[in-house]
Amino acid sequence: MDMLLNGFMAVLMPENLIYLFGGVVIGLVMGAIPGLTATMAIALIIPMTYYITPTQSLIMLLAAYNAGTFGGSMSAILIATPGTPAAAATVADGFALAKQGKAVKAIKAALFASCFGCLFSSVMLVLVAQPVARYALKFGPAEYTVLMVFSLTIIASAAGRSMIKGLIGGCLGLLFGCVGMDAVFTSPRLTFGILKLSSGIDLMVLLIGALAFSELLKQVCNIRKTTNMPHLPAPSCKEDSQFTKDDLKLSWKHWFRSSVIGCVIGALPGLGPALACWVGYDAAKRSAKHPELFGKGAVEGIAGAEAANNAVCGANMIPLLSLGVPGDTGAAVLIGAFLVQGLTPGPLIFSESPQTVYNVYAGLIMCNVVLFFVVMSSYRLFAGVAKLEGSLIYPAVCVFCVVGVYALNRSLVDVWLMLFFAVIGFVLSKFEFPTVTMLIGFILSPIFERNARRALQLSFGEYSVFFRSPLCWAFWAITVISVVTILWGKRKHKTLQDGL
Amino acid sequence: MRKATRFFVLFAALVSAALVSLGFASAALAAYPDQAVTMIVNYSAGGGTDLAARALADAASKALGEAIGIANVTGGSGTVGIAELKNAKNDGYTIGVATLAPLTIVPWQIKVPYTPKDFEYICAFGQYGYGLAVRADSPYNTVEDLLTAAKKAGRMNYGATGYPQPFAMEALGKAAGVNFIYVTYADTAALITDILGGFIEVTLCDQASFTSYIKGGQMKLLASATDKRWEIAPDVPTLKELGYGVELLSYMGLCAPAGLDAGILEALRKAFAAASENATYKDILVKSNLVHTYLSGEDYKKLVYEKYDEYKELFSKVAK
Repeated sequence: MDMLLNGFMAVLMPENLIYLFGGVVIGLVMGAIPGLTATMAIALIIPMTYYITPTQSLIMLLAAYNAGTFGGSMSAILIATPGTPAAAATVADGFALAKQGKAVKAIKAALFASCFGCLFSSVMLVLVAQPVARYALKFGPAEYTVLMVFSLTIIASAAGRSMIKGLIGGCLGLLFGCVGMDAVFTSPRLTFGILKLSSGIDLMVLLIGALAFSELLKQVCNIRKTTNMPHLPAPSCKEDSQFTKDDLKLSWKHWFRSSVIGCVIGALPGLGPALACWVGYDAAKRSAKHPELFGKGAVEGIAGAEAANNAVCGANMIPLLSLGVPGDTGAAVLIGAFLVQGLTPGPLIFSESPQTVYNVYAGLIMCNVVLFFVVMSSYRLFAGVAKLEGSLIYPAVCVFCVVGVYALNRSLVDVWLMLFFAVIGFVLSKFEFPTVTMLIGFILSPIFERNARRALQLSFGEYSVFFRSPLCWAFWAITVISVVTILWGKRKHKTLQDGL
Repeated sequence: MRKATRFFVLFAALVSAALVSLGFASAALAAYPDQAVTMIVNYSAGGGTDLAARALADAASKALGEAIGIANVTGGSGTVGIAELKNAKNDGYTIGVATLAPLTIVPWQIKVPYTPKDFEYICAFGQYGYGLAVRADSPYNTVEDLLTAAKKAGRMNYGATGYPQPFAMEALGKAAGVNFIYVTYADTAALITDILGGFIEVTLCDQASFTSYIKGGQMKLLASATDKRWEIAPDVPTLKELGYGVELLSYMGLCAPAGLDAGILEALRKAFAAASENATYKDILVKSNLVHTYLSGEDYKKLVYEKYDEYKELFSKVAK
């Protein structure tokens, strides 16, 4: 406890606080720019950290990671372009709210949920990191596989009005996820001889294409109507720009639920915030009173997605600090930052430099406070984007999409791919296929395949491996329950419609 | 307010476009170097190779008198960055990290648009080490224990993140009459998790990613698979010392596109030779658990050509 207090004292020292603040600002800006992800923010900051103290370095990086994960939702809300993969689930409801003149409300809803999620997981990190991390090790390839089978049911629940169309979208996503190196034989698959494709399709490329650029194409269709109008309507009343008590009442349960989900996903190595946001969003949708409002501007949707993805930021540190295993790509890059400072992430760090660990804890908690104040004092600047005319904003978004995707890997192949997915996203939405099911399928596909095949390899081809541990059985049970509730909900919906 | 935002958005869009096009600026050949040099790194920012390369570039830019900018061109197991280097102008303003594996091994697995002949070799600057490791509470304490158990079971899985690691296990298995089965792990983190969780018994791992777990007492090193013992475990013998003729070596090297002016190549070689003795660079290399080495351009070239043919033979056997 003393050490935690010392940690807060250390973080609040001006020479450390300035780095924390800097990390938040860099993360926020980079997260908001499509194509520059929170992970890239960390990677680009690391070379700057050679000459500063471990505490300064680590709190700056964590602040950038957390703020970057939030920053992505800013552009998701204002220009329907997810700044980071973790903000993909926020686009639907965030942009829908913005179109109703409630952009500021959406930003605030995202901010509160994000800060709550990260605070929650930071507290979990301080309190129960060791046992949670040790439990996470019980997850082997077989357990991950069954967990992914459960996650596949999210596709069905996100399918919307037509189950068949939703599932077709999901299958498309699964298929696109197969492009790249074969997980076992390391031979290229579905790459059409293009070297770049042998490392697979980047999630960010697919997201920007299918969500943002396809939205641009849609705008081209109604170009006559929109050119000289502000891109988003102005708030009609004061409450449109506030996060009201009613919103809080709607949101707080989702904050807690999604934070727990985010913690679990963050603590399990290999999953990451891009998955967490969809699971959180889905959980919020299933438990909401009016799930039909999701996608049309539900504050709960933002709460569910944002609390989950930011909870991953703190929870990622659970396996990293207790086992030395990174939770996702962002945390993997952080390992380099630890090593450069002469620290060994993992159990060793507690004897090498225990105070640094507590400084990191304090930094993680404080960065939410800083993020909160920075956003609250600057959101007007961002929200100003809403007042710009379509004729100005859409070309600018177009530039951001192309440049952002190019900057990702410095590859023109990525830009062509992005345009390809833009067309696919456009066609899908014209025929009323839910694009989100394709995205979810794409995220799940590689995790599912890799683990399923590895589990079979390790068991010398015995399929019984998927039924051996109690954890597997638990996930099978949840999967069955999930499918039954989806079918039940469909039937209820149908009888309701028939009755009318 | 509105005007300001409007201006800001346009400005931001222009700046981001300009930043990207900057990378393509070319210049006439004057006294080399008269402008910044771009160094392509074939792995992603923040990884071990990237950190070492950045530190080296930092040191070399002092010797060269011009800045060296880093461009991470990733993908295809490190081959995309090297292909890009091949296509770059051979004016000395684009150089690139070309690690041994994507230069000599991966070409036998996937089709790549280059051969070792497409490059001039500046130097090799860091060495990857390898070793045989198990979980800390594993019943195996020596290579002997492991082989006995594997013989008894008839077969044994091992995890590795790619070639050349499997060649060592194959040779070991052949020498001891054991059937080792290769389980591929695309990312190191998953392999580490499965070893710690006890889902796979043994790994032929790389030194950079596994040193911290061995130092932290979560894993045991049974043998070094490199030409020397690991610095952190001086008591653990190498596989060669144990009588198995297996030795894995891999380097991070620095190349330029073929046809580079001999004078420029000499200038680059000199600058990077000086840089490899830089204290900050050495410190970062050691901290990232890489071995500090230096091979001259000629030596690295010889090694690459040699290995390229050697792996060709090995893979033609695998294919059978």
